Amino acid sequence: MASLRVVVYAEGPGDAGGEVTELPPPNLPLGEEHLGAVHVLVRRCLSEQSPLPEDAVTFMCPLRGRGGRKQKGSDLLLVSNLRQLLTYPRAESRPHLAIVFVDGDGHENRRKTLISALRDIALPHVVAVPVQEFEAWLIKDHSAVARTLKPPPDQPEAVESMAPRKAKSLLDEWISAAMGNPHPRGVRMTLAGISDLSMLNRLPAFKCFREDLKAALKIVSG
Amino acid sequence: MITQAHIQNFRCLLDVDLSFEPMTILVGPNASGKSSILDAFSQVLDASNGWRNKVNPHVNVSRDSGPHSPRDQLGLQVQPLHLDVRLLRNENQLQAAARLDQHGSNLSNVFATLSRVQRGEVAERLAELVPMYRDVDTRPSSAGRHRLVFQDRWDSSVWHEPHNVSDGTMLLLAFLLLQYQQPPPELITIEEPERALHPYLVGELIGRLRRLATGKLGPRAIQVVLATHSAELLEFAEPREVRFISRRQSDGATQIEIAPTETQDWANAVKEYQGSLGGLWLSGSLGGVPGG
Repeated sequence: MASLRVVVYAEGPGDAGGEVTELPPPNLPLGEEHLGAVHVLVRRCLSEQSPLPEDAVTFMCPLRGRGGRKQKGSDLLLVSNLRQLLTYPRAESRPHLAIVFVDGDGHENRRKTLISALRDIALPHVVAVPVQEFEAWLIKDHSAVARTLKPPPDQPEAVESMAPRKAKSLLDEWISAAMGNPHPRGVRMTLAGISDLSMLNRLPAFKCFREDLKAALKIVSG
Repeated sequence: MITQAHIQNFRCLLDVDLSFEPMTILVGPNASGKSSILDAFSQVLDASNGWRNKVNPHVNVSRDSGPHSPRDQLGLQVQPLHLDVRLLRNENQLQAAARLDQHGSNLSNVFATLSRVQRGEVAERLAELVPMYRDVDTRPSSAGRHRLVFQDRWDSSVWHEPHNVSDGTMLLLAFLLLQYQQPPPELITIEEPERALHPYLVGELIGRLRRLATGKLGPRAIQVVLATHSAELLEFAEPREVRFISRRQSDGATQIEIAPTETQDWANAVKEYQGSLGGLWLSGSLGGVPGG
């Protein structure tokens, strides 16, 4: 396989891209300007686990939800919506792999429930559920945070034990307080790009995501 | 019936192959090439419409009786309709008119040219579809002109002037006349037929146009090609009738896709979308949608 077409469904536009420019039609390739922090992290994890170089991963524009709406985070929690978003009637043009990021928001069984509801979907897919939210992964490596934001914020409590939305609000606070008025999207993408993956791997949810990704890549490569 | 068309060098239609059903529905974003396909049948001999004004357009058409080209050898009788709700209300200089013109500005004359029985059929059907009215007729205006009037359902002494009648009613009246046109065209192309219609009436209209196209309405089958942006309209379409139109990213030329209706993936998709072709189209997985 010379290239890998991947579609990512994630909760917010900052994670999923699309906040900077208008998106192309669904299922066409996204440009770099459309990508978000989730894409950066996914690309790193994919290239780490497959012989493909990072530039061989092409992110495809997600399908639209009901009435042609761009999907929102809450759309991903409704099983019928999510199944539709992973349904491509033309096998030859569908992505090789779909990755769904849904915040845990304190729901312990969310991942298990979604995996069960999607088990007969033909498109190889991975459901990633950070324990609370994706931002917990972005702030896990404090040395990456300290290199990105000046002055470096104080090291927080363990992200694993943060309450829902704490990691999100903490990162927002740090960006607001940083010198140079950095753009939130840029900060998030930088953190996704430089965080030490072995450190993130200490988070059970991230470790689980990487293992699921590895298994899915085996299916994709046949 | 036209079964295939190969269109080259006409506006954004660089080189497209298109198959046709008795009723074919072209769906796609603005400026994707839907209207160009419709116009290719009626304007193909206009050399000024060449591909980016450099080369001459060419259309090859296959009919169920074999291949033909160009249009004058075909003797193709095409009626392009892009009905204008303002012009549909026009007063007409009284004269016989066997066919609607492109914008429907001669609607009063076409209606008045029908036989008494035909006018009764049209009025009865219109009253079923738009039950606020009981009858349709024409009334003389000044100096040999006349106009349509619509009888109120509840007060038979009241006849509504065209400017007091809804856009949808005027459009429906025009569509109801299509089966009576003499001589009937071989092909009718219609831009945005669903405009101003309640979704229920869109279903009625599509059903009626399909019957017209399959010879179940009127003296002979009239092939129909529609262009639309409407997901509501697609809810009443058969998947095999729909062509998904978009522009190729590399050079902007129009490309056409069909629904892969014979595959298991298609069956799965229809199940996931609970049979909603409009919903499936709006997801973007079939093409024929814009970005944004």
